[in-house]
Amino acid sequence: MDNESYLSDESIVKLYFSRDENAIAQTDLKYGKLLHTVAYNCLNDDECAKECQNDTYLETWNRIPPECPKLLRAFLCKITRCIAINRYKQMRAKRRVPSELTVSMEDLAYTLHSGDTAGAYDAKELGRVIGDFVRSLPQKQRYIFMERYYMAGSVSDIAAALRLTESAVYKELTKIKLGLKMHLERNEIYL
Amino acid sequence: MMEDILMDAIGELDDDLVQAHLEMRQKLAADPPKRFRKWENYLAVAACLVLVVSMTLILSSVFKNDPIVKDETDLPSSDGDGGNDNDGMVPPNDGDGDIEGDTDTDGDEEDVPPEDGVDGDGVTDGSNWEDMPYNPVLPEKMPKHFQFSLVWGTYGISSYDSQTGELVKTTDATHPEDYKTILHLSRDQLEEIYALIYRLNVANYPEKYNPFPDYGSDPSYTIILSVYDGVGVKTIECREIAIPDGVFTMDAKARAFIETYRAIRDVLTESEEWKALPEYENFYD
Repeated sequence: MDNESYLSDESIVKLYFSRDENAIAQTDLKYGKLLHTVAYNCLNDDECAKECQNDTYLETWNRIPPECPKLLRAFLCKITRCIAINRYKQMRAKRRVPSELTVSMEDLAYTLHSGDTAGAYDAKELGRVIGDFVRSLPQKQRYIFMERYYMAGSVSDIAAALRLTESAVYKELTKIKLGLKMHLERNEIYL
Repeated sequence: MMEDILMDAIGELDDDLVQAHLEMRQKLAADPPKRFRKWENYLAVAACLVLVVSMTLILSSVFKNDPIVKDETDLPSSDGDGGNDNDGMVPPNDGDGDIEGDTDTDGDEEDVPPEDGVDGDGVTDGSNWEDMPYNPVLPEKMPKHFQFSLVWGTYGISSYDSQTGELVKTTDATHPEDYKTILHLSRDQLEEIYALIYRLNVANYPEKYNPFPDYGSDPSYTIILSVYDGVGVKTIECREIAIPDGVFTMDAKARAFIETYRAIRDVLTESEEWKALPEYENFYD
């Protein structure tokens, strides 16, 4: 991405504050591809991903102001992921969604499953504990975790980005999953 | 669902973590890390050494007029165990030509039992059965000469060959010979195993198969199932796959294969012969 040809995040946020519709065009220009990737990895459907992208712009338009995101890119990604996951849950009620999100989450759930009765956990609290774990990871593992489980990226893409073999990425994922399981158990969280 | 809990929780990660990741992502896209930089140097040095050694050997053989490598049969197998390296089924009567040499064209092979390893013409056929893909559609009734072998475990340390009856609990031991025994399956047990293999429909599986392509594990797992139906050997070889007990797959074909493997393994490991073998020295799983 060539940052020179795009408006800065601050300028885009200012456009939202001044209710200038160019804000959406500039957001799409700068982050459209990224947001599409996030949605597509969850849904494995190009049309649905585009709809999620548009819903993200609408949601952003409605939330800024009053909100004033300091990290616009993360703010947008979170919205897209949230919208895509809500849509994913609707789609999954009808049939299994053959997306990377499905594979990665089933895999993670399988490893983290403790076999006991799972407790009820608040997503925010669990997110905080997982966040602590992610912060403790070395840079490479942190990248792999975020790319696989937050962005729902494929193992082959992760391997290509890090110039690793897929087998090496799987090995790292196994270490990460087992590490997370131990971390959750240390925090008395049994899924 | 647990997946939902995890999806929602991961969605709650702090913005700074997400932002840092997105920045790293952008950086990697613009400037991907160079792969194996150190290795490349070592590799270049190793390649030069190999070249020098090869040239020396070639030149010395030219001047001495002496072949560098004698007959291939003089060479020991690469793993040093004389070739019996658990890498699949030793075909029934292997080496005496029963399998590879006696496929006749009238299709009645199954009705004519091979006699003590001698072909119709009494000559051993030297063709390699492993080179010939064989995809049998098995009959429902167990063929008269049905045999099978199974290699399983972490790195394929356990094996059974119904032809020889050799049952190996592990090859990973100070005294591997202590972990070998002979198990002759009863007709009922063999029929039970054949029924499992028949239901699996081995013709549906490739010779190299990974039931869990989305998973990996360290150490890896090996399953090699070979089936001899009286005509040829079908082998399904799963090497360097994830440990089956630690993964989950929605693929019905993969599940059927793993369930069949487990059922056969259970028949073997529930035998008195297996139980009489000593405990493992090393555990990978």
